[in-house]
Amino acid sequence: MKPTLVRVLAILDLEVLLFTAQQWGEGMQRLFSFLLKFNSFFVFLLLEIIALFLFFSRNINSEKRAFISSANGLIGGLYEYSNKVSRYWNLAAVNDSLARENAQLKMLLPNSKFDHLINGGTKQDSLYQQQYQYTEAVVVKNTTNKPNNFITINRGINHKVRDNTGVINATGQGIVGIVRKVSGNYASVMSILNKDIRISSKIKRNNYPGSLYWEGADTRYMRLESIPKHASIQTGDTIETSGYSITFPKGIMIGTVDSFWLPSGSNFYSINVQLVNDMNNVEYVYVVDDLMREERLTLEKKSENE
Amino acid sequence: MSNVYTSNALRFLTLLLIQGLILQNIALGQVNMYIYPLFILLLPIEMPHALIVILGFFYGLLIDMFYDMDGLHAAATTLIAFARPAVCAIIEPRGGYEIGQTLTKHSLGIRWFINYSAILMLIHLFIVITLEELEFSLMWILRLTAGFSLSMALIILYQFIFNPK
Repeated sequence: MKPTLVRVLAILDLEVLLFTAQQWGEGMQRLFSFLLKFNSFFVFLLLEIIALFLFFSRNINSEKRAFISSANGLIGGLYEYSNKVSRYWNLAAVNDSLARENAQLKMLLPNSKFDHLINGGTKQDSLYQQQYQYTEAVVVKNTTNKPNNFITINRGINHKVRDNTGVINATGQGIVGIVRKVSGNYASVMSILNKDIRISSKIKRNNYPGSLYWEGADTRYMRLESIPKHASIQTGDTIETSGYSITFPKGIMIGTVDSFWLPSGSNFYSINVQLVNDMNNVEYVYVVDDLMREERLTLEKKSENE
Repeated sequence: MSNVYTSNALRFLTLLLIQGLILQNIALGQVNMYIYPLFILLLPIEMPHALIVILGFFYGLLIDMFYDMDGLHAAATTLIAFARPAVCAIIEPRGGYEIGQTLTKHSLGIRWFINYSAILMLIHLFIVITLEELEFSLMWILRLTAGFSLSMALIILYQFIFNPK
């Protein structure tokens, strides 16, 4: 057998190589062991490049990539099972917050309000079209101990969950993250405690918009930037979502201003925002889907291109 | 021979579940600990090098699924799988290795095993933490040193509890 053919076989397939090695016996085996050694470097190089490519392109969304995440059926199912066990630990806290929310909702019911109207006539509801759709979900996996934290929830394509939709806290106030990858029954959510996240938010009192991100250390605080130095800020100011991006509706409370300062030479404030919700204890969430987002995105793209 | 297969398959599954379901949730601040590379460390010495690298890549990718970090652990594990024979050569004992020998505390002694696992775990943590932080800050040093000591403690503890032959 010619050595060139052997080399081609070596490059093509490892299995073939091992099989042929057994056939030709001892003399050839030395050659093959050399080739295997030689080959392993290229195997390593190829796989290392694939791994690094996957890592640096991790924020590019695609349906094909959903399987390398806890959104895939096997890992998601495993998390759901282990969550069933650990869920009992914080049942009491969850119960309290649910009761609190129930009380808040009861106050919103028509029968808990006084009707000043003497002759109201008929009310036309057709003026209001549903824009946001809420889907409830249970968190089956949540971490807060890494620079890039992700959450897995038990809702997916089968429940009409789409990527790039916002996830908000169901028991109480606050936002939780943004859906990144979706599979049949699970979705992987980029937590707000993730260095890659940017949330368009504003100061409630004077509507100054800014960009909210996580510094990566303390799970109770996030950092708000791009608020100009002529804006008036006070500690205790409410920070809420701006509604400028498609992910979150307007006016969901995120937290309050804890401290702020003007970095030397900068025209923009750095603001420490204390989160209203405890990200270590997220159990029930709502996925908020903007039903009109395609219309808005096409319009915005159109005017950008002109 | 079948004993080698079953013990490695069992270790594959056990370490995956320990890492993915338990260790992922236990952390001191942002200091993470790792035990799963032990699977790559303890693969048979006579296994073809290319096969170890391939196994390392896919094992890392499985951990990435648990951690939702595409490619992060795969990159680190592929590198330690590739570096394994070189590390073995550097710290080769006086008599050399024998065919069929296992790379454990039981067969090569605790000192040899600590040297061996420390070098490879340091490479692994260096890659993981550098890729996660993308800068050499105080946090980087803290996570590397503390994560390294905790991971080493776990790996040595594993050797004493299960004492793989």
